[in-house]
Amino acid sequence: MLSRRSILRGASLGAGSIALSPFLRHLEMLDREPAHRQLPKRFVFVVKGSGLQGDFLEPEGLSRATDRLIDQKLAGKQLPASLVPLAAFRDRLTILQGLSGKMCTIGHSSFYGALGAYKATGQTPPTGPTIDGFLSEAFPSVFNHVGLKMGAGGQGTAYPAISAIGKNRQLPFQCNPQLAYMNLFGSIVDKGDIAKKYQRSGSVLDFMADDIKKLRSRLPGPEKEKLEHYLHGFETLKNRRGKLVAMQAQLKKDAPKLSDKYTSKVSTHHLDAHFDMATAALITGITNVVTLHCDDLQSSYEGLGITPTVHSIGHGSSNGTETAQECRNRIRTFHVQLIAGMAKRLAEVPEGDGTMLDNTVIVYLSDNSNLHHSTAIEWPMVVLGDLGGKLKTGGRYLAYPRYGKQGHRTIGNWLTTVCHAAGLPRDHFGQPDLALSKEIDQLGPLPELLG
Amino acid sequence: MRNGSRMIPLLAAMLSMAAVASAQAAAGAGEPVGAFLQRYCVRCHGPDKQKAGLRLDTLPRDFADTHVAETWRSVFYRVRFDEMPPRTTRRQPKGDQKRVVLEWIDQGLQSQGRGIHLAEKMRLPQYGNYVDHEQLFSGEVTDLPYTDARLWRQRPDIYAAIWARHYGQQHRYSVKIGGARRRRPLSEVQHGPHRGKAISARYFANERYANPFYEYVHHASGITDFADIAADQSSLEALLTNAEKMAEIMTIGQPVAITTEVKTKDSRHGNNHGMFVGGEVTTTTERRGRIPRVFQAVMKHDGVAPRAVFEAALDLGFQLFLRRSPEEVELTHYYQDLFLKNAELGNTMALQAVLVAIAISPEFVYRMEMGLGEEDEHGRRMLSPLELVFAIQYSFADSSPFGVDPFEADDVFTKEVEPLIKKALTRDHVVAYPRHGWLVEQMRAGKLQTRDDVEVAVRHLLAQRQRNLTPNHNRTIRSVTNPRILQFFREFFGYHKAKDVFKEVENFKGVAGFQQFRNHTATRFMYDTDALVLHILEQDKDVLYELLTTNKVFVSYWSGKHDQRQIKRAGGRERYRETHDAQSYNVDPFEVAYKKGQALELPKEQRCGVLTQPSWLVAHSGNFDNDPVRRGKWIREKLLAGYVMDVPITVQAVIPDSDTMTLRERFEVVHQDQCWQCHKKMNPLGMPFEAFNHVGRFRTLERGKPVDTTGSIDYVDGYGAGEDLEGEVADVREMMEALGRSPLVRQSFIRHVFRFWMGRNEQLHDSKTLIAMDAAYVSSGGSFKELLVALLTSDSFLYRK
Repeated sequence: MLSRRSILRGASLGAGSIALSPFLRHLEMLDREPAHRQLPKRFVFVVKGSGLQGDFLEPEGLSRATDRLIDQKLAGKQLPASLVPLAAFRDRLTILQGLSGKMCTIGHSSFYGALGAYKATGQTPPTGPTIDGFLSEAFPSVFNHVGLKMGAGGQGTAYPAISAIGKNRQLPFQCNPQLAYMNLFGSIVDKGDIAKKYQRSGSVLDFMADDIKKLRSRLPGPEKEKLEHYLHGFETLKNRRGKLVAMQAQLKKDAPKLSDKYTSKVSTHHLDAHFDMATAALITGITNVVTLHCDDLQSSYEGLGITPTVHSIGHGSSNGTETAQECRNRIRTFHVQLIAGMAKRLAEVPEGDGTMLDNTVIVYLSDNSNLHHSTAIEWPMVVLGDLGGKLKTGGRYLAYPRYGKQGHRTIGNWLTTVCHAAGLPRDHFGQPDLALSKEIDQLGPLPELLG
Repeated sequence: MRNGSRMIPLLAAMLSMAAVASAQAAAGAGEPVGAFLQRYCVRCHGPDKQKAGLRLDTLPRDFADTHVAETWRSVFYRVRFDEMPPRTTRRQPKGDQKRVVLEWIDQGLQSQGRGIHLAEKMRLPQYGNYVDHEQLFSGEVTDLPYTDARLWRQRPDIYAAIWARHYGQQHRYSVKIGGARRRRPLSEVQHGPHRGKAISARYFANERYANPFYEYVHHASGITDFADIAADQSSLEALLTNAEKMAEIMTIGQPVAITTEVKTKDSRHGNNHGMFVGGEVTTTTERRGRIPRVFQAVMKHDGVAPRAVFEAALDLGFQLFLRRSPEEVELTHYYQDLFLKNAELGNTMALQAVLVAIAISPEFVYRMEMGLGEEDEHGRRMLSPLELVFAIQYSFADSSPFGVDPFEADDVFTKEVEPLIKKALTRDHVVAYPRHGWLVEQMRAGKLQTRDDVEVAVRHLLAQRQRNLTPNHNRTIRSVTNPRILQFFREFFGYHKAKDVFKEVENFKGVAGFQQFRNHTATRFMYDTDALVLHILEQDKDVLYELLTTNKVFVSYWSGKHDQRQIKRAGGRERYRETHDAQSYNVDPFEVAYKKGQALELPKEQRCGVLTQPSWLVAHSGNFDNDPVRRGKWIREKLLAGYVMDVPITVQAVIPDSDTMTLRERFEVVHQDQCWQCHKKMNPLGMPFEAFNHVGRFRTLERGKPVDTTGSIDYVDGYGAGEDLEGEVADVREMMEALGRSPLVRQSFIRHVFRFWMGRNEQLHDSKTLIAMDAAYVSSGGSFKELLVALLTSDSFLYRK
């Protein structure tokens, strides 16, 4: 049994390995698995606010929060109501219950904690990478990471404080579907505001890159090099635009069609559009890592007829016709429908001997564990897809023993599992829970889930 | 032969060519490296003896061979870190001899892509001590100091000061109708269907943006702002995102998400404004802000805005971000190559393009220190008055020296709505632009031209009254006068990192010696030490000695009184006593009289300077234990101008767990030969701090045994490091008294002051500056102000080449 001391040591060793160039890690990983060299891996994180309630993720006849590990097949069991939209993917689904995350901030949100397994706040910069940020560096593409968020009204870029590449490096999320579209697929639009803004950013990049080149020629050696780094940033962004242009045919084929959803005043339409774009971004290969932040406490699901804010519902408000719990159930079902839509699209695209969905994993969870006001003693998740067989997520209900009981595991173990499945093994991701007794193994992946 | 340093690269390059030519040849005695090996190494690593199985006289020069290259690398480090030849041998190579050989090995390794790249490394803060201390302070270097013309990447704090409040906030406004009534102006709906109902509102403007220049800290140096750091792609991406948002705010306004909630029969009680949750919600986005008239003139112009109209807009754009007016050539450039190129997208978008470009321009990203002033007879150029304004301002503060001249603007939000809402979206929450600072006035009055002018300015800034002597989480370092000075002491000592070290707070409850350490205690420790540092700086006498030896402490979050409610909340008088902040300093809060803001004097054997402050001890501790290694390393590097070899990868030191052994006993394992090579430079310096437990409380027993606080100061190199410094010490006080009086320690401190304020490592040609700083400090009786004046009026600070 490993002690907390060794976990901390492991954690700090792990932190060191982040310094390794992502490129090297990528190569190393490819070397390790020659069989899968050709097939990319894709990661999708769908994060909701106000907790994902474990009570509503129990298939008929199965429970959780016991003193032992429950590992049951989903086959032949009635799925919980809000997961019914995923019925077609039942054999690729795992309902994961009973992990804790008390190393995180508790309350209304754990911020970076949900995907990073560490204590964080919304006001201060992140202290380490979150899993999506970490994977985005390891699986780079035209866009290393795509972050989309349902926001209020005309908000543009937001920093919901849930994702980070590393210390002090938070990842942005685009709330405005039009701006997101411009950024991802703007190169194929030939008229309208999106095309204009795309053209404008291009001309700014060109203009400034030229200026920098001129300035560079007048500088002494080492300073020239410094400007070189900055110029390199411009070249990379221009390069990205170039790559997008080169992918025109592919983008035109798979990019979503611009529709009313993108300009609608109804925020739920935006979320729908975000899922379309995220799916298309994965199919076209312009990214391998997507985080969808469904809502925050101020969001309202007007489009579903649920006018109170997520925060109000969390405090028990009804929408006039349904109870707060009914509202929560419908919101959850809505998310699951969107996830099912994404999975369906990915399952239609052939890849290798199977489809794109075979090489993808979609994780649905909350940034605030299981409740509106959470204590993080359980952190339910729904996992879809097995990442090319690296995860054993084929139709299972997996509930770990209650907090503190023998065999209990944390979200840190889960995030470590994702790293292992991604071919980036490490001892531990994030911080350990120092309040857990020494008997609990916080180091290493969850063997039950590793393929 | 002080010009030697500059000759070496050339010499080394020639040598490396020679090396490649004779790649397979064995060491001969004719060349410098061969001669060096013959003289200093071969007696133990030659034909007669091969200590550690190593023979050097026949070691090939084939750096392409992995084994050979690794052997040379090992030789490099042993020689570089004075491990070889052993100190006990009489025959020791001189600094110059060593350097030639080291450069030769590095070049050879580099030729095969295995280089140590010493020259580049020495630009990084963690390698600052590699410059020979003895030479630096010998007085033999006659070169005139200067700094290379350079770009200095914007400090994250400076970017935040310019950006965060104006363009980095997310605005949200929550309005509730029909809730609890309050007696306040405008608290009733004035018109519409809800007329007469109560209305209440809260406005939120939270900083939400990514700083493109996230903090860079190397653990060994602690320095966060160094001129050698470059902006890269991730900086650019964040800058671009921020700039697009700013361009929008400046031209069409700041979006505000307004949530209006009307109470219904289904609403429930809620403990917030309006006192209910769950009404009928409508969400809209409005824009607010004041758009400059000169921008409006461009945007509203029929057809493409002409240059005359554009000029005023560009001028304001430059004022806002570059704090200067554009020159004629820039006007033309921005108008023709950017504005007109985007004109087909409309005036508004074209103007936005211009604003975005300014906010990602290298001038905004980098401070330019080219030396635009007069050139002297030695080819050095002084900083121009404008460059001096920035250089001096940023030495003391993070805010821009320049403000923004007032400009005319119109409100974006002009709707006739409820007065409460209109007020909130127009009059309230307006972010004002700062005015020009004192330095700008000096420059404009022509009083920032000469070295004397600079001295007047620096003394003026140093003479300002300290506005905040006791920082806390409400009145942070930002409200301290000259915050960069306090920041230096934070980064030098590293005590502000106490809060980054995880402690098992949950398990401390009821444990003697630990129960006073609670959730925010580590942060409070930082403020305690801030207060101590500011207190010593106010006295400005023997500053370093005081910092290293004072027995004064501050308990920042204690008023000195005992609040009955707090006692109750703590769970009674005994619990209150045991868990009180003062207990971290072994003080019973009921036994001493304390007044906030005044120092508490403790027994001299218990507290001795910053290194015995709980903040420093915790910042340099592990999660479960003290960390004598890190503490010793800190003293070696920060106070003794020394260095410790990078940990060899082959060594995996594991300190055994034990419930009965003291930490000192557990550390015995590192006394093995291969560990001890490095650890001998750290552990003996760190062991005296065993007088404290790992949350910084003084103790006399560890695991029931009397604490052994002995240690020693050894392996000291450097100018003036004399016989009086080395030797055994009985406890922390004896060690710190010796260090506090040592000229070497003083000079090591001065080197770190130089690095922090110059944003670069000292080089040999800065020798005169360092000696002048040292002299100013000594002759003023240890005044930190005089030390700073000496640096900020030095050639190193003022001249570029």
